[in-house]
Amino acid sequence: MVSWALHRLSGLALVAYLCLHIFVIHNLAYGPERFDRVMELLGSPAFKLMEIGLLGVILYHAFNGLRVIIIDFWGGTKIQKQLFWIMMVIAAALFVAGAAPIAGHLLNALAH
Amino acid sequence: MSDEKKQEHTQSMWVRNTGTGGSRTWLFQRLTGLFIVLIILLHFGINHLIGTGEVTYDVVANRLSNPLWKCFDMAFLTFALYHGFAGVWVVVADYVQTNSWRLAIYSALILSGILLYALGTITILGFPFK
Repeated sequence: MVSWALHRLSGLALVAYLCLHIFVIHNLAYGPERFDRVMELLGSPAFKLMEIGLLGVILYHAFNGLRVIIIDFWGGTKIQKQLFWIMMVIAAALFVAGAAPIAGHLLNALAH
Repeated sequence: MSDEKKQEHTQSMWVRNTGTGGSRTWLFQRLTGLFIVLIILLHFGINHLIGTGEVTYDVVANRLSNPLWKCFDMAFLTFALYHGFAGVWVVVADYVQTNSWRLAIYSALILSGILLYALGTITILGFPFK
């Protein structure tokens, strides 16, 4: 129930992000100066921090979604609780692996 | 049945039928979801983890000069937008009870979905802009 609610909430957040993302990347059409200026802004520490958050939301939605697919296609309602935690462990591992380099860039940016 | 009633009936049928959409929508949501998981991990890894983590015009230009990358990004755009908007559609069907509000929101979803798809397509296929 909680995982379902979180799936919806994270999904709505990701749709909002996707819309923004499409608009931001469209700055490519206005040439290198403008695109690089926008990207520099988005490379600032505050946005890097949000990027780590984004990674977390993506990984939750992705791995809970994979669990839903497994349950839907191969059954497994009996082990769905265990499956949830297995998926979350994988997601957490990927989160650490992905967040570390971003945090590294963030610290680099702060040092300069 | 009076004309007004008939119209209301047709409208509610339409809204109901376009609610959760049935088994095909269900299947598409899972298939596109599976595809997006694979593609988004690549996308995120390549853009943010490999190298300096900086996305500059030159980096993107270099990638988009390859037709295979254009295909990859188009597939991503298509599946992600479909999956996202189909998801919002189901949420609206679950929580928005009045037909008029549903109609308004569904229309807004269709319109913004088409516009975003067009904008994304222009960005990907129109590059480089001369």
